[in-house]
Amino acid sequence: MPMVRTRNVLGGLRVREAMRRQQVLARADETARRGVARMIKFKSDYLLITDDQGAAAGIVTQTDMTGAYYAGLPVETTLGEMMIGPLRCCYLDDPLEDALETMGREQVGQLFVRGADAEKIEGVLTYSDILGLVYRFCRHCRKSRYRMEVEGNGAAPGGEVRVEAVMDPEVNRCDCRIDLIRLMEILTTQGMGAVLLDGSDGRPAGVVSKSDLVIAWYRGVDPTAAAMTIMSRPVQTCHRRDTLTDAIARMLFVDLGRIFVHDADPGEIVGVMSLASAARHRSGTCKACIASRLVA
Amino acid sequence: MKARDVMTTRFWTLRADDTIADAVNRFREASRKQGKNVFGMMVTDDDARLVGMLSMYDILVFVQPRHAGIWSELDDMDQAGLFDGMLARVKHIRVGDLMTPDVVTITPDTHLMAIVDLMIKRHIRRLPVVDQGDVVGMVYISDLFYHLLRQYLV
Repeated sequence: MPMVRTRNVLGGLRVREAMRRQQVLARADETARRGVARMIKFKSDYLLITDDQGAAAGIVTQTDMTGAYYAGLPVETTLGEMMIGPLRCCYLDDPLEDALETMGREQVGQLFVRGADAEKIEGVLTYSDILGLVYRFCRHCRKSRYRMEVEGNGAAPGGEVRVEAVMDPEVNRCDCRIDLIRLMEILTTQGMGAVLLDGSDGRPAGVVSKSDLVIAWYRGVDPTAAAMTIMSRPVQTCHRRDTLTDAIARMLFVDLGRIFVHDADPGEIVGVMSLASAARHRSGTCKACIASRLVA
Repeated sequence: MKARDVMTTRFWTLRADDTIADAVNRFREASRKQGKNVFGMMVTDDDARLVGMLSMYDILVFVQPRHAGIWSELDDMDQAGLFDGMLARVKHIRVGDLMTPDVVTITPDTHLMAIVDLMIKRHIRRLPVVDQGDVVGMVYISDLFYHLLRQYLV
């Protein structure tokens, strides 16, 4: 009996191929101030907390730190007081697709990877790393625009996926004068990683992400301050008709967690695409991978 | 055979609230004035007390893109422009954010063989010399090396 199999770029790949071995560690008795500095230095969204014996004990994420900022906890609070556990884990040889599904279902940004020794953490899997693998995979595909241009096989194929097919049309936005307390409430209730801030002219003025909030906490910014005092500028955008490949490239190379999507007018934001949504778009970046095929 | 025999008392320091751009310029200035490459500096507070160390390695760790492996495969993009854009986004980062706060120190009376042991076992290339809380010098691995092996020098 014929079996339908949908090809996608993650099919057949294992967690070990996408995971990152480097982990950003901290001890439970270290202060959040130390932890944030380490997160800045290693551009990490989390800290893996270890116990006295060096074994993994829990995790502190930017979400936890934003919560601490909101609750008025001092940045000298120990990481042990903020960490959560148990760790969400997968295994080296798990299919990447299963891990991606787990991340989506559990609403986590990373899975720790265990090997044969269940006590040992071998690495960590993030949306960014999965996307990096997908990008490299697609770039080396003989049907990719890059390869066709390099090899002189004619014009680029017309089947590339566009950003508009992947973006989320719902964009959290508010006035840039909103205070950080209120902004943190919006982020928490909406379950978002960032808020787009509008200037007095109603056009996008900046973005405040959890990273910005964690740094604000670390720098001692009063949480009643206006969001515009800590927002990141300029807003990183792309056109809705840009190819997914190009948008992913920008996100990866400039270390963006999300990119806002505009229409003809660059000031008219019509959507947002996060690393998570791009990674979950499992059919890769080219329609050649979407085509189903019959396997006898 | 003590630290005081090889330590340099001419050293440059950084402040925790200096920008990374300040640090980069200070590294170059110190290298030029000392006549040898300076790869790391002490970070001191208002009372000139040691609060950390910043090395070129610390800065490189920070400026290294998260997906460094992909960069080497991209020959059709303006990489220099992309990298400059990344650096422009991190101007607010300070020395205190990247420095190593747990610093191994020695005193002027630390024996040279103890210093060799420390440098080998902990992969340290420079050690601040602290006397009763005050920074009084720095021992560089190169100075120690040439001091110990000077009889081979022709």
